[in-house]
Amino acid sequence: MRINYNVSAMLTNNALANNDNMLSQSLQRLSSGLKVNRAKDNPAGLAMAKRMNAQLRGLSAATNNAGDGVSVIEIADGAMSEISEMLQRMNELSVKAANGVLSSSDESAAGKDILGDRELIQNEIAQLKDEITRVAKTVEFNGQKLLNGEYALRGYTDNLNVKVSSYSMNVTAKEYTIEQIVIQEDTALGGAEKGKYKASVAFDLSGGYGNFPQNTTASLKDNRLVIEAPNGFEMTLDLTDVDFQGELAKLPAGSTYTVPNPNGGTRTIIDATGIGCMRLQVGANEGQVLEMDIPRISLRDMGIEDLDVSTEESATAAIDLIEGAMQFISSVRGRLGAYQNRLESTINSLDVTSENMTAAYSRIMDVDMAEEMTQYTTAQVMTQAATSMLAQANERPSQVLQLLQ
Amino acid sequence: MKKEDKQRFTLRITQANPTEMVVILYEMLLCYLEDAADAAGRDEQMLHEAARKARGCLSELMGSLHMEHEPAPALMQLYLFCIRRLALGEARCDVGMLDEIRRVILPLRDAYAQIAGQNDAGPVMNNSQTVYAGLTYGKNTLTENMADQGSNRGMLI
Repeated sequence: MRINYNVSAMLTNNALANNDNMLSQSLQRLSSGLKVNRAKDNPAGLAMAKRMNAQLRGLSAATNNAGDGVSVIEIADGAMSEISEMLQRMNELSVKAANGVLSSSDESAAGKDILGDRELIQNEIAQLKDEITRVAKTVEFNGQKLLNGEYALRGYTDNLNVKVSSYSMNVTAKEYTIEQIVIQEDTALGGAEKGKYKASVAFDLSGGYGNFPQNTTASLKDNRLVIEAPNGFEMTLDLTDVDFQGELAKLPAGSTYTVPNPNGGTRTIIDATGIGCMRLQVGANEGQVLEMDIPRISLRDMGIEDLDVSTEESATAAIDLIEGAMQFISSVRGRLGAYQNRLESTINSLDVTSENMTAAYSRIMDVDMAEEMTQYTTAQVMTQAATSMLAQANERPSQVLQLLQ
Repeated sequence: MKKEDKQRFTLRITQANPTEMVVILYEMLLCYLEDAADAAGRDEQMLHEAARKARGCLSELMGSLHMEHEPAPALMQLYLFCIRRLALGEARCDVGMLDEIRRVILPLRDAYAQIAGQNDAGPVMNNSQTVYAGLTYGKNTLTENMADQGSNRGMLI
């Protein structure tokens, strides 16, 4: 009698057992730290995903567009997280430089050939500033620069010295008139806040709001005039070229300075064009577009162009400026995050809230976690070959061939 | 990516079933990552170009996920992670970050390569030439012959 062994079946069985083992080990590790996303954990997400798939099949081009949009955001956000790390470092350095025990360049370096403590710190600050500029200038997607203001909403003024830095999507595209911008030293502030300025803005001559929304307020943040209204209206004007600090210094203390228009008078007309955003065609039909406003990131827009920590006073002021810059970056990143949520929900569905989806795609931030997750997914792919083949299958050879070009 | 690699990939794409296509995408991605790592710190232009191509591969991988089946959400997360790392690696010219992507993609490629044979769906591209393994002997040369290539070479839609 001969007994036939099905050797290949035994081998397969062994491999399967191994994989199963790996899977459960990996799962244990993962479940302690990260929610494992399975379709069955999230029925709402599943419903959405099914629809997404149907759309994907029909709209591969639109999907690619949206995928590109996600990539654009990830890239811009990656660069900005880099910039905010550099700002953190600058903050650290400024705090260090503000310490009274350090030497300034003129104290220790006088007559000797050594740099003062603050001068050394200032050198690093200068390098970090250069690096921020480099990152902001080089970040690109498909050859298009992302952070140089190319995809920001455009706005212009008729005043050579007043520039529109940015404005929000809630700003209706039209012309806005400001009758007067009056700047004076803010005497109510004392201590470290001393030497700051405040602005009062007359939108129209009768004290109303002109063509700005009701209850619009204006405040001065360093060189930027921020005009805000409760409905989300936000416009930032860059007053760097006005040099009101220099002008006020020439006048007696307590004077006010009215920003002039070189063309005559004090009226400034702002033209918010409402164009310039990155438009993503995310549906197969006309009008199914998503507009993304990515503001320009530069030292000037962040208000740290002239950052200097070479004296104790300037270092103290620098801490404040850097805080402002970090807020600026955070607000831009927040806005991009919101676009990404919208983009994902646009691809997915219209009637289920985007929270589900973003929860399903909660980001892996940590490299170790990514590797653990890879291990888990790999084991899963091998144990559940049939579903894995359904989960990921590419039937678009022409697109793949294009990637070889 | 060298010219031969492109030819090799093109040939494989014409013969591949949907799962093999995924494997090919992984391999192309790895190839571009290698290019990027090679160019990092040496040729900025080339680095950007390689990163752009690698990103294209990742987008295509994301686009070919079918979310109602089990590992797809996890794969999506991994791809998003990779895109993020790629962006950082590109901005910082950091080869280490590119390597982190490789460590994620390589095991996935191996897994999908292992199961690709079980997919009996047949090639995605119709109408492309059939390639037989082995060599054909010519009278004077040892060469590969392809009869009836067809004028469209499988590009018919």
